[in-house]
Amino acid sequence: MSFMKKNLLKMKLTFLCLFLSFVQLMANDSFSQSTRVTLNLKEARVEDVLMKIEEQSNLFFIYNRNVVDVNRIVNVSCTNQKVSEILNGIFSGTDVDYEVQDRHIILKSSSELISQTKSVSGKVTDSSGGSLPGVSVIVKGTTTGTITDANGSYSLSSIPANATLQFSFVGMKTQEVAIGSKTTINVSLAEETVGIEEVVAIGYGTQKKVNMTGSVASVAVGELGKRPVTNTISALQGKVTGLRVIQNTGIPGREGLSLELRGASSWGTSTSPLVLVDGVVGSLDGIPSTDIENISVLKDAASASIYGSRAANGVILVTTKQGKQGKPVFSYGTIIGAQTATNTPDQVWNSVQYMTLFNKAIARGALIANPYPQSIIDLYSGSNRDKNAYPDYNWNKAVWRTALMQQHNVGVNGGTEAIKYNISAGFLDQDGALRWHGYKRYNGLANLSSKINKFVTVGTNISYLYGKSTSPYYENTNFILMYMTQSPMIQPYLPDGSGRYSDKIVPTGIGGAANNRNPFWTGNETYKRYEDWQANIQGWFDVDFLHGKDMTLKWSTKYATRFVTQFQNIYHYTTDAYYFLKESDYSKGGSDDYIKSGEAFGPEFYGVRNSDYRTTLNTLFSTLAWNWKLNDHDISVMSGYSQESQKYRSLGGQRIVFPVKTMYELDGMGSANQSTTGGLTEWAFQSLFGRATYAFRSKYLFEGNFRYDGTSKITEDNRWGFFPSASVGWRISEESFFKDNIAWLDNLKIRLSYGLLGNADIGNYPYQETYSTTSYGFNETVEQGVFQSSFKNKQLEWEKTKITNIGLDFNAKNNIFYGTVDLYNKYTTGILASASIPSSAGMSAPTINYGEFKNYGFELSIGHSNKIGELTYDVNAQISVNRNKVMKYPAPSYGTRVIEEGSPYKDYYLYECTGIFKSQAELDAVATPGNPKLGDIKFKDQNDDKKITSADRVRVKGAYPAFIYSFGANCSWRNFDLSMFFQGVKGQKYLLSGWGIVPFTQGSSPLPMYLDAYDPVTNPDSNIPAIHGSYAPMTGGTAIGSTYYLKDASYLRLKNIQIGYNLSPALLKKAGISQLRIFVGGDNLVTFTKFFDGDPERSGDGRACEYPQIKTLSAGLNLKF
Amino acid sequence: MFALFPGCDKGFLEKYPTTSIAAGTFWTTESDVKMGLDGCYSKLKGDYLTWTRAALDAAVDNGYCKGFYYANYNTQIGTLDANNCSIQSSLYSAAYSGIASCNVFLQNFKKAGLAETKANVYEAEAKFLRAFYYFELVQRWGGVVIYKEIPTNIDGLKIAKSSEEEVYSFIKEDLDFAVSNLSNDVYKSGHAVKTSALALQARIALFRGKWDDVITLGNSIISSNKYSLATDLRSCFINQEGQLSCPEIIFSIKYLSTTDGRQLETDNGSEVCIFRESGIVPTKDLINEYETGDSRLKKWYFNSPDMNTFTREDGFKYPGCETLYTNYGLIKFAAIWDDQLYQSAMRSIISGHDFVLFRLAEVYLMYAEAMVEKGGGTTADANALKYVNTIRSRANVSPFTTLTRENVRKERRREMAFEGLRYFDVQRWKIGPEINGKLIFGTNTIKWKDQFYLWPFSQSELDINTKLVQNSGY
Repeated sequence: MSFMKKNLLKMKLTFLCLFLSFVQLMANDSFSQSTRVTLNLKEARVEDVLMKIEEQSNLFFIYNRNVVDVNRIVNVSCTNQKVSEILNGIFSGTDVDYEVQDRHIILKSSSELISQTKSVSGKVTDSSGGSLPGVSVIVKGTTTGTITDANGSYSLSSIPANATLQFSFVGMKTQEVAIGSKTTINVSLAEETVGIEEVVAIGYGTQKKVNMTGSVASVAVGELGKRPVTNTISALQGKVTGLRVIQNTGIPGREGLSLELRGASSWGTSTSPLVLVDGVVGSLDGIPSTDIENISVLKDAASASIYGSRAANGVILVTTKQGKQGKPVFSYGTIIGAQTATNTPDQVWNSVQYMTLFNKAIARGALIANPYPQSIIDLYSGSNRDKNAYPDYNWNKAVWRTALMQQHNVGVNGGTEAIKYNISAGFLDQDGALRWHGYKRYNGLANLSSKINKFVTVGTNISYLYGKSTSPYYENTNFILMYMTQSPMIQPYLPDGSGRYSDKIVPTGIGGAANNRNPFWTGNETYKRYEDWQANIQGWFDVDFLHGKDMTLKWSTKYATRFVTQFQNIYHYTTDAYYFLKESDYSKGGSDDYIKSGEAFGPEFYGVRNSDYRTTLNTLFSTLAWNWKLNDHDISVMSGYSQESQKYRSLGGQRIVFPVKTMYELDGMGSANQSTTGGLTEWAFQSLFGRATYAFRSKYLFEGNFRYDGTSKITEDNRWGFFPSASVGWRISEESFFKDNIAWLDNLKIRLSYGLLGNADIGNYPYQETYSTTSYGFNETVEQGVFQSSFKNKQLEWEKTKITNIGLDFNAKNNIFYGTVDLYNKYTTGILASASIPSSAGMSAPTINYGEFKNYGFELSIGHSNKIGELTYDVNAQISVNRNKVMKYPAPSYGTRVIEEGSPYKDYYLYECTGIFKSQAELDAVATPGNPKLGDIKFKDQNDDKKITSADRVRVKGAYPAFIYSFGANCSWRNFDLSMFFQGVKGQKYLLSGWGIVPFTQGSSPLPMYLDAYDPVTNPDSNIPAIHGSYAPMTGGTAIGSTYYLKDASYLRLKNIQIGYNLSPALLKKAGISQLRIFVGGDNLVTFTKFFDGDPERSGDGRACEYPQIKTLSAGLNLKF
Repeated sequence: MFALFPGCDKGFLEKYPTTSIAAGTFWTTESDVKMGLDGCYSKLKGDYLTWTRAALDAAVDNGYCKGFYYANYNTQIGTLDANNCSIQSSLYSAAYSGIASCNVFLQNFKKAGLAETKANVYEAEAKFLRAFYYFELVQRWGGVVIYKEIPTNIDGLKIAKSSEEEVYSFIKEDLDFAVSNLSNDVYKSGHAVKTSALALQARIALFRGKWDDVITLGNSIISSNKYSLATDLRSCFINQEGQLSCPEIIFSIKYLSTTDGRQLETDNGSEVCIFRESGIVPTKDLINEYETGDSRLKKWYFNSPDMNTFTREDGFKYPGCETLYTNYGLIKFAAIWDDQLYQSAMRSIISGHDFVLFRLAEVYLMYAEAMVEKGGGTTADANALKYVNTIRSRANVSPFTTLTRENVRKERRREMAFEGLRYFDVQRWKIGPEINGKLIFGTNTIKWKDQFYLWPFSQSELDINTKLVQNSGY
């Protein structure tokens, strides 16, 4: 071990020395217009000379081989000579002339120059209308051409009539336009999204997609920006195969979205992918999609192993918008939307129906309460009654609303050769579709880079975010279940206009004992506010000291604070809560007063709680890369060092028993009943990493990656871990036998990768033996105490995951048809598990590395793009299939879900419901526990022993989706564009319980389907179980574990549709505007599903009170000038 | 430039917990030893060892539990088995958690190098507690697994149980040491004193039918003259009503009203028994056990014809009780005179009642019972009669003229109700068949099974420790 450490130190020092010497080397030189190079080439081809010049300078040559004879042999010997002089030398005596445009040198045949006859000019833009500088515009078949200027404009004079212009630019589809009679040709180049020229961000660098051997998905900004979602994670949904977005809550500003890539790789620890923003560990929550240039998802070991011990769940790389050379482009974008809940569970909101069902449930013995007497039911009957006093109140409508959302972004982007900048700011104001919930966000981004000289570029990325999320103290799910438990018989306030809150419990003897807080009291008298400040300051230093060799040093500090304020007002049962009925309504001769409520759910505490959380993350990394291109060989090597340390501090205080609604600060009311909490956790990582790639003629591709990680989370003895990966690729399409026969296939590549990854998210101090603190009161004073609360296992390590990936990429006929297929197998070992120890140990069990788990699957993404006349379109579809299997597990567990070796993790394990009992014969046939009655659920006697026991449970599919899929289309016609995007999940089921599916849970009104429930007398044909309460129809809890409650939550959702219109550029030009696009659209507008108990897009089993997805109708505009 | 590479610092990857104590550097001072001992005491607050043991009376004929302690109902209706014994398992792990703390303490405290006399007192307290925890186990399960030290590995935890006799002899070792080394003060501070250990020895002797021992031990506690009966019926249990100066308490679990007391809402403190679904209600059968005019009836219970309203002696009514299924409520441990408790918003205030584990009244009753048993069902011992009648006169009921097995047992049931002893009285008196068929509430009756004299080990414990053998009948 010490040998390893010593070597590590040595490597670090060597690296440092290298770094220092390079800095010195470069400092003297400065960039000059008349670039000088040194060449010594004997009998070289002209083309080789040009390549050498390109290598040593920043210059690029453009020429047509048919016109310029580049195979001519020349001798060049010069030292520190100007390029212009060298060119004059090699082309003297030929008809080749050259023209310098910025960094491009265009070689032309002077004989051609004579026969030109026509002029043409125009402007080149990208698909969003932004001007594109630096585009090559060449007369097809000649060397004649030019480059667009900073405004994207070009002009060519004296070119042959009937010629064709060829527009090409890296990352864009090459376009050809016949000149004909036109003198102005404006061209909009489409991005080559899956094109072979595409460059993709990978760990510590970028790579041409065509040369990649790992499984990496890349999402461009245009894709993300379209949806009016306020959270970047939502925007990723359906965009990347294998990536599943799960919404845990929809509360504005704290959506609680989680990501899972290719299934969960562990049950012992985190299953979230590692997210890096501009190379620094971060989260997608903190970064608005409008600030993002590109997102890369590293899925297999080959691409992710450069992040070693934290990459087992995949890695997501986010690149923020960088400045681009050109005139400043100012942009403004806005989206204004109206938001509503997609699906919420429907309930019976008719008072008479509610009481009737309630009484029926009592009569069946399913509820322990007293029935509502007919006299009360009468009060609520009849259309002429006082509906204010005896309402049919719809609580769903009272708490859900159409909420406004607006987003604004302004930015300026531009730069010169020397300085590039992107500065932007954004504002979001979102009211919650659930009342009393809301979010506001301000964010800013400033990315600057400055080229100090030919070699050195320095830059900063600074981002800032302030978010404020407000809600009642009982928020989100708790708030939803609060309204679900109300009955239609009451309104939030008493009908007398006094503003006093009503309470659901009807006095003793009338039943309905199960109550809950009044949502309006909760909304008005309690409060919670999360304020987030996040600043990420990065400085970087990039040295391009010899062409093809590159060094980067990046330092970053991320500082995030969250301040939470919680407040609850006092709830005097004697003054605040009243039964909705007057005493005279239920007792003859009673008074006309509203009855004071007895005990109701009040606040958990009353007063104020403040909590402050601070996270500081310092990151430093440095990389050194070499690239060689030697005839047919492409070699690159990169190595680096990284260190990170994080501190998380919390400080909290409360002042209870003294609420003043306008005072949320602790010092507001003296020091009585104040108390504090606080804590600190830290972790640190140190790593070395590296990558080597080799490509032969871009045909045979090889890549190796490694990371050597050390962490504070593991004991010194096994602190350091090595995570290597290797991959190969074969571009069959480059083989001559293939090119000659199947020329229509532009690209066909097979990839194979294998590697090892770790999961270091194992807690901060998992191995240290510590004592927990406690206290005991001796002599009426607190005395501190300690005890050992758990056994410790010092041998603890991170979990390790091996991934094998086989992939295939293809593009046909310039993307008429394209696609990617991947097959993978992820095998995780050493999953953290609690050792199984008897409870007589008196301590909690140690964590050990034990379990093994396999995830394997298949991902397919295909597309088709084309242009027919003026219609350009692109359609694409994605499908992902993942399966898992528990390979090793401490002890099988059997509940409603089963964990057993050889089967999927937590598969459903349930009694199979076969309908309801409709005859005494059926009841007698099989002994079913819980004394079922007619109308109760019937189970299948799997082992035919004439009784229902735990042996009759069977595995049921549905714990995992059969597949997830998405498809979409983008098209543009003249000035219009249309995009739509569908996303769906197939085969996912959830085991529902409580609020929603189970009538009268805490008194909540049943789903309307129970109006048609079975009744032996009045409705004997119904297949809906007889009305029941709590967890009947099967008492004893058996029904909880039956397929009756397992509901298919498959869905297909129109996630987004948008129609845009680009105003005519000619018109805009007068106003100095280069682009103005207006659009209307919407999110989650249509859902196809059989699920009826709320939104099918939910996070898991359980009650129906999850905050649903939000439906948004939106309109907006994008403006550039 | 080097400043950019703090990684060269050796400690970069050395991070330690900042809010807990590293075991390796502990046990050096007396203050460490004190903290270790406090840890052993704090385990007295474990599930069903502390005031939650009141709910165990609802496993037999004294009460009925709803809400959180509902699982006691399994025993009442005869369905207790290895798979539904959640309450039993909670107590089991709570007691072993106490034992583990004592073991950690006893293995380490000597490292601090305290003077022997001082060290012996610390050791005696830890041994008293360990004996208490083991007795909690042995009286319920019979033979159990004994750990005299913390095993060094996981396999060392999975061992066979010792016989009941072996457990008792280990308890005796600890208690003998405790009795000879504990302080001879009056119990007050929360630290066990010599009389606390004697009381525990007496209860063990009673449990094992060693009547002479009970008499000797009872005598030495009573004749120490350190304790006397409280004059009223509530100050022994309620902080606000004078618990701190109550002369009757021989050992208790200490709570503080300012910091570590039971929070009414979150800990389901005993006050809440009236108000919340977690409540424990007395059976009509228990109520009927009291004679007319017994002041314990109105000081410890209330009648609620509508099952929801509590009416206090002064006429104050609180209508918000959760359903009181037997029409009776329990206020023995409730600060009913504290008006703010009736406001839901006050739930977060902290009550500081100590839970009494040993008090003089029980010593009196143990003494009397031993005398009666020794006398074959009756006794002529004047002291025994005097002791029982002191208790009765406090309750305003007429004195007994003679002591019989029946009237001593009945007095014990009345006086000690909901102090967690009834189940074990049923167990040692073997009166299961007698309570069988008694009404719990509504039309629900007790279905006693004789295997309930010992509790079952939980199935998961048997699965993990395969050397453990289940008690018979389960």
